[in-house]
Amino acid sequence: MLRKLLKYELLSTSRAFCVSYVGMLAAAVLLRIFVEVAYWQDQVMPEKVFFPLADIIAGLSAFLYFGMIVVVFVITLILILQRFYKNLLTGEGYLMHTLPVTTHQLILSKLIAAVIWSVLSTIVVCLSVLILAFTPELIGAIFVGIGLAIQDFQEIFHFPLVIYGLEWVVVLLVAAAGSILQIYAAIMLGHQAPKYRVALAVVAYFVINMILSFVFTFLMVGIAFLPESVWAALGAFFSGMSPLGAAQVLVLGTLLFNAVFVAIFYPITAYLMHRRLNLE
Amino acid sequence: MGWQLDKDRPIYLQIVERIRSRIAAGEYPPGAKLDSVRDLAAEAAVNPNTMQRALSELEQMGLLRTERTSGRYVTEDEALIAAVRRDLAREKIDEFVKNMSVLGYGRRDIVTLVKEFVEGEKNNG
Amino acid sequence: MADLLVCERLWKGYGGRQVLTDLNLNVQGGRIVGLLGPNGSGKTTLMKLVNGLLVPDSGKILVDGFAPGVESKKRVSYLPDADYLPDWMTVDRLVNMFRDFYGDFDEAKAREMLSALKISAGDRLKTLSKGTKEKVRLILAMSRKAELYMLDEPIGGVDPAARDYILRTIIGNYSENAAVIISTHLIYDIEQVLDEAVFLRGGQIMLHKSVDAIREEDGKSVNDLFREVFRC
Repeated sequence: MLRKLLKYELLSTSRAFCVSYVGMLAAAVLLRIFVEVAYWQDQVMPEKVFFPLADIIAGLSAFLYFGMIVVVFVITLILILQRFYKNLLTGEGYLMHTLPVTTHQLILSKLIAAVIWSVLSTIVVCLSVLILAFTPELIGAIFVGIGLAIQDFQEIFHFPLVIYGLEWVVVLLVAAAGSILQIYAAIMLGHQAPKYRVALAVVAYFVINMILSFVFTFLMVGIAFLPESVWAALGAFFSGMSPLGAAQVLVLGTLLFNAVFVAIFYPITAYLMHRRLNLE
Repeated sequence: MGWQLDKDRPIYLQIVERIRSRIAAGEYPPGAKLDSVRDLAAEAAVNPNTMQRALSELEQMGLLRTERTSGRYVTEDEALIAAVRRDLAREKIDEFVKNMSVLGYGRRDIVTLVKEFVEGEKNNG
Repeated sequence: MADLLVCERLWKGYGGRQVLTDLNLNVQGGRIVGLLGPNGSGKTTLMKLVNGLLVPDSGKILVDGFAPGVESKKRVSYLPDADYLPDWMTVDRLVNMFRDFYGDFDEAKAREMLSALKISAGDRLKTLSKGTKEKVRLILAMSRKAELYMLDEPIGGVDPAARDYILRTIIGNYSENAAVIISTHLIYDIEQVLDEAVFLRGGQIMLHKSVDAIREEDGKSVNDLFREVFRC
């Protein structure tokens, strides 16, 4: 069932994303071309008093390119919002919530799709940078660099970089999930009101942010007041550790930190959707 | 759409009357196979249980018979059908005479008027 | 015949008012039941509760023995009074979606009914007229071999021809093992299709009687009885 939900999720948004991704990459290609042309023109006729045209076009396409980056991220955010709100909390909600699926499956399908699109958007933007910077030597240099990095890492940490890298990928996914779930929770909180639900969802989101900032600041300040014994214990713990240990603690710590957000916002979202749903 | 039925009288009775008339009139010929309950109900735009009740009633009256595997059929008992037709005629006449009486016509006048009417029709072809 | 729907002592309030008060309702299979009441009487709320779209404040709901959840949703076909199908989808994709999620969906029947109405599978829902959209929704809901059909105002706001089609489809879809609950305020048009009438007012059931009994005992149409009972 979850797979089917996920399939329809991806299906419903694929056209919008593909179009923007293609647009993004096309803008990158265009920019690259015009920059090359402008550069070449610079070489060939340094006194281009009458032909700053190439520069202007290059400038415009740079504008376009950066615009497309914004577009891609904005579209990603909008679609994440829209798929959750429109599909689950407006008219379509009558369909989705009477399908023989659990609330968890509904939320997870949206969350997974949202994470997938977020990751893809980031990858596409990175690809576009690659297009801009591309030279045949670059690819070679990249591979050499990666090879060296893997080697060095293995020497220092006695641990494969690939695996360590994957650990960080997991952390990033959890972090993405946490951010998205914060949005979902805010939307569900806004849904509790009889009117102005969208506006209240926005308010809820910022209120949550404020609360999180307060808590964070509080903790930071609080840490400064920890007793000597705790600092001593921590010091002993970390000094006795290998470099790999430290690196893993870092990953684990970041993972736990982000997992906390998931642990807070997922239950809120699920509870409100399961027991406090109120479609118009 | 559907059969025009009064909603303040039991529907199944009206359906019984309607089908009875149709059988008497030959619209449902003797031995003819009836549509399924559901199709008849859809045609009449009534609840299938209501149609079922009506059809059972008609079976009780001997106008329909059920073959367990193949469905419902109009009876082939021509005598019964003729009797029903006569009964219906008598009901119609009864109503007609009552209405005419209300208008002030006596029995003999009624017969005269009917004769004139029928003859008039014959002459006009 | 077992009770396909059991509502026991249902209470539901929101927005500061009590919408359903101590509501009890049993519906058996093979019956077409009219849930009749003025706007605001709680008809839609009751439907939402049975479908798990709302949670009761207290009380019990059982669909074929199951509380509202995944199992009950497999057995209930709901036609809400809302624009609930994704507009961007084509008719074909919608049919596929229903087939994917509902094991009791009769795809062949749905396609047959759609083509009989000359609705093209490739049409996007948003390009269809309002009446056609209603028919598509009805066809999808009625093509499921569900145990309980819940239709919320299926004939409100449609032209008479569409209304005929809808009623005929409901009748033609009848099964002894399924129950149909139709909520409406257009009693006159629907009463000859009903087995039972349930009058709902102020969140309470004022009457639950067989339609035949109303005609025989009260000598009135359901519509007339309704007007009498609900006289302001």
